[in-house]
Amino acid sequence: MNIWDTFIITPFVNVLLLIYSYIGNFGIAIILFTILIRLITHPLMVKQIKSSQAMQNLTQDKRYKDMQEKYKGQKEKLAQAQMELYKEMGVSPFASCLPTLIQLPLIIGLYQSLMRAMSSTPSEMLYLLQHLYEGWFNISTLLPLNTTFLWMNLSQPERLYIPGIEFGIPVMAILVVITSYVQTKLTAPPPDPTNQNAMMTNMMNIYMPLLMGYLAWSLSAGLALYFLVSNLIGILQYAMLGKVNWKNVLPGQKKAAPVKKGR
Amino acid sequence: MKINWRIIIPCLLILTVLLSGCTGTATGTNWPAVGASADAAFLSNTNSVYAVQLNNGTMVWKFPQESGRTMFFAPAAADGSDQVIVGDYTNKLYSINPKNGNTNWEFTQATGRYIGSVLISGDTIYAPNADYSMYALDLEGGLKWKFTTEQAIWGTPVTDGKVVFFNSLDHFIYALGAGDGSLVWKTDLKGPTTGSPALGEGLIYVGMLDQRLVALRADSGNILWETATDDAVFGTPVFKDGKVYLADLTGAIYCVDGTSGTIDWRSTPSGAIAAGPTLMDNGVVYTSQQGDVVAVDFSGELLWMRTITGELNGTPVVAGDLILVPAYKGDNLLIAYSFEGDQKWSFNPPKK
Repeated sequence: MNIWDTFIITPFVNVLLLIYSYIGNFGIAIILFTILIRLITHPLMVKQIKSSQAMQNLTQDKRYKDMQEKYKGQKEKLAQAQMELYKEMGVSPFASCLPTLIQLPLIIGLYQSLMRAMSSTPSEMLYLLQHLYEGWFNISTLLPLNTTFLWMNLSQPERLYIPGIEFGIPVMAILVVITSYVQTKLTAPPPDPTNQNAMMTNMMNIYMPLLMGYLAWSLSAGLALYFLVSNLIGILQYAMLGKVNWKNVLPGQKKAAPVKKGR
Repeated sequence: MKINWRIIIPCLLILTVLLSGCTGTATGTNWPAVGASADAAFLSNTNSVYAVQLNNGTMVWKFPQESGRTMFFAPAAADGSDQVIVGDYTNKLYSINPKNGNTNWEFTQATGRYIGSVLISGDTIYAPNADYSMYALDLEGGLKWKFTTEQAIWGTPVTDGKVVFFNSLDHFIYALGAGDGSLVWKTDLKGPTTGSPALGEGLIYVGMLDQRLVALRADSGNILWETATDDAVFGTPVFKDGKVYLADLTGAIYCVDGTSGTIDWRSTPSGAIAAGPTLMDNGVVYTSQQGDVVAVDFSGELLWMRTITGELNGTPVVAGDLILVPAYKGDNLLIAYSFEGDQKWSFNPPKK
């Protein structure tokens, strides 16, 4: 067994199934497990927000703007000057990304755990049997998992079939796109025309929800459920930290800066 | 909040690739499986089914000729004349001409994966599907009847000619009239099972994931006895001359008296065994996950043991005087041994 399995997949699978064994509903187990993961990674998220805020403040600093002008076309010198400013102001340019990087393996691990737990092939079932913690489960009642949740089979890509419509509607993928978009917009900074990254940020506000929607459309409904719940909790977390711009979501509204509460 | 998209974008792309790569596709993956006719082996592996000559291990044909979205992991079944039947993970069942690999017909009414092999008996094809249903087809692919259970059906059915027996993941074993699919009886096994039942002399034997071997009367479905094993029984037991042979995930192999359920002998020649055993004329062959092919005689004495690279999770098949062993993640996909343990040939698909 490799390190990835030992420290990520196997613990995830066992905790997920432990929740399921008490709840008896795999959809609710995924929701509770997602909340658990978000709680565990909450400190990382707070750190990410703080670091991002520090970076944003730094880009508004006069010295930062001056050096953009001074070293225009001199990338190396600009980078060196920026690094000195980062150091002086105690800001790490990577600090805002590190928590995200740490969360990526968790997302991948969670997906693999969902697939292993749902065991829709013999190889997944075999893996599951050989990785359950001894004494945690009663196999007779645990397997197979009931992967039906609302109208979905959580082990398959989700489609809602409505009488009279020939094709299935990917409801979860649509919800994932909407919540990803809302989350991105709520947490987006006010547009700054002088910021070189503004255009790229705007593009990502569109592309990232579409990417998440594509994953929700093409992969299992269990993962789509995770994305949806994760987005909703993310919005809630940002709201609780006072970092959301509710007006950004509504069309025609003047862009607002994040509400700053005393954190 | 300023987000460093120069780092986030590559991360998201990597995430997309990784998530897609985790499953290959939404269709899932499994280990290779083998079926056989009198003169050919049929190896199901990922996108293709390969027909391999038994006498020299060379490929006769590949189905489909151009790999597409098909995903084959179920063993193919040959009817002995003009059909090889195999289902895939994209819900299709194919009848293939064994001579040239052309399609005779396709059955597309199932909505789940074909995980277990079909059973061809007389003029009927019994096709278990993960959409919870057992499909009975005529030899031209027309639906005769369909019976739906409460969970996926992974195991191949068995029949005595009048009744078809099969397990479902819903914990029940079902007995249906072979002709019309009417329910004769069903019995709650009170636990999950992934393999197929084994038919003995008026009894049916089922290996359970919750560490049991269960014997039932074939005429009534009443449970006659249960024998505990050390670990989950993942593969299908086999029956011969009043004895049941099986293995579990600790690697223990058992010979159990078919009438009383007492264990005649038990040994652990290798590691975990997920595949079902296979009967030879002179003994029983087991394959372990760690790559051992183990042959014992009917008294449990070791005849020979060979080690090959890869995991051996697919059940070996006896075809003529050969034992065919499908290998997963090894140097070869299919290895053929004689009953004495001599390797006759090995097969890998030709590279493009």
